[in-house]
Amino acid sequence: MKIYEMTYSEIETSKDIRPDEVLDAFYNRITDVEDKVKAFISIYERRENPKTKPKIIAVKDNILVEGKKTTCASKILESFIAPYDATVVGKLKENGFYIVGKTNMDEFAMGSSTENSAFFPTHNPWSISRVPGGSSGGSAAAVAAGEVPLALGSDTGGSIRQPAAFCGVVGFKPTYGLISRYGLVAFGSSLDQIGGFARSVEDVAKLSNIIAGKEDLDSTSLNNSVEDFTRLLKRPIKGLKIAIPREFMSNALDKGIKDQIEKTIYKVEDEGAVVEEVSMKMMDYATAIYYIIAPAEASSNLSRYDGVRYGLSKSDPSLKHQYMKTRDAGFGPEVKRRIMIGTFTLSAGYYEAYFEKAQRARTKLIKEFNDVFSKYDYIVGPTTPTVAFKIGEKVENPLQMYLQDIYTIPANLAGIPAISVPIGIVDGLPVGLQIMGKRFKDAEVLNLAYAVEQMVNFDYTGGMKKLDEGLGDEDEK
Amino acid sequence: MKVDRELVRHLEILARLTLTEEEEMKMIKDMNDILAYVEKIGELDLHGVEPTYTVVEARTVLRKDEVRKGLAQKMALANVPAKKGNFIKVSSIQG
Repeated sequence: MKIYEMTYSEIETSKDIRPDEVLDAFYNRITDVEDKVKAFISIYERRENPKTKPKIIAVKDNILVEGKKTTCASKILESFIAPYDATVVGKLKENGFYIVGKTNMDEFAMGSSTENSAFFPTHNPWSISRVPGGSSGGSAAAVAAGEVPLALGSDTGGSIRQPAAFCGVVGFKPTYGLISRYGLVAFGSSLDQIGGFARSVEDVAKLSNIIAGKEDLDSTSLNNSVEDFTRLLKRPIKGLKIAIPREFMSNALDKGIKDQIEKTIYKVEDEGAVVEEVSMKMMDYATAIYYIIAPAEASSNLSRYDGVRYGLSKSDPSLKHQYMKTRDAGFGPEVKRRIMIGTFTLSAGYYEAYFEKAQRARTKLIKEFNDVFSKYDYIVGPTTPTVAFKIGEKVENPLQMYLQDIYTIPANLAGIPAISVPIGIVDGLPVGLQIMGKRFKDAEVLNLAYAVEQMVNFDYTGGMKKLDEGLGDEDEK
Repeated sequence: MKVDRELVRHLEILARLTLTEEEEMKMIKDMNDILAYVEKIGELDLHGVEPTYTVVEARTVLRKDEVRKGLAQKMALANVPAKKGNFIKVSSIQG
């Protein structure tokens, strides 16, 4: 097995690999495949040979790394140099992690395909004519392509889980509040959550252990047990109760994905878990709720980009026109669309009918989750309604793009932990299973994810092989 | 709700954006599609339901009143586009 194919844990425990070999393996892999994948916005120069085995990781380009560019894949931050480390980055550095670079994303994390990057789209290693998903598409693609064993992303409505499903890797959004958002460029503050990508559930649990924890600089970060995320990984799943919402298995779901999900559920039942179908009517409203709340929060958060204190600046003798010129030139179409929608739903005369109403509906959705979680330990279903789509296929139709996130959005609205684990292949492309759990039951979510991973035995190196053999391009013929 | 050019222009002013004519046409179409979709929440009975603005308990978080290390002035000003000495230079607020 090549070093770049190994998981973080395998590299850590392997006794016969030298530190410089690890660094060489990933830097060489990046050199070999990055032209095709385009996962990175910046790649840091290889530093001299480390004394201990470097813990290689990539970081999404909306998380600050001191002294380095943080662009959010936006022209408005194209030359912004982070003046400090995000809390999670500080924790990585303290624990000896080696950051190789910053990954591509949809501008300000708004999108589901990484096509909204102001710089270039990222390609899916399994089929380079297809999107890697988004918004953390660069992180997912980098892990799938073997450029890194681990990556950080952020998830506001599915931005970790959806690209993880498209790229055949594990993507975990922990409970809202368990990981400090200090140094994560804000998009939807009540929804944003940092989390990890890896090629094993164990790796993503270990990474969560490193980055979690309360701190003063994010007042929404919580004290609730900086627990050991790995502690339940190997617990047998016999007797655990799992709910499958009928609404997740409806006609909107691709037939091939549905078959894969059902096949996996039978295996879970064979292991002694109790699986039952439930109805969760609010799931059909989640996307509508989200596309009121998220743009509202975004329009407020993005008002800081004014060309005065940092970022792009288009000067004008009038301050108001300086603001406008800067924002016109700096923001891309999707960001402008969300700012406009958010400005609308927060504006006088519409606030009650849209923003306030969406927040009430959010309460109702959370109540539905609580009701189901009073009887079940988990809610399980697909991560995405389709497999990875073609680059260019949906970019002209924003609403179609939004509907990519119908299954992932509910977890953000409720602040609960959720993971996507690859379970199989449909039409040569990976399929993800989503597992959601109760707030703060992150170790429990990882428990079931680990059990599923053992059952399905997914080949995480499949994307690397297709990339190397150029097989990913065949459907272009 | 029907989004028209007048509303879009009003929102542009609030959001400090100036869209081109072409961008405005696309914005009107996209916003109408998106709002028609999100208005689905109108079907819900939300009578007496309290809003949830955040899933964490809303509370005021205070820290100890003690001096801490912050960003050095040089670092804090490093990304400023227009400076004069240690000040941020700003255009006229009139007009």
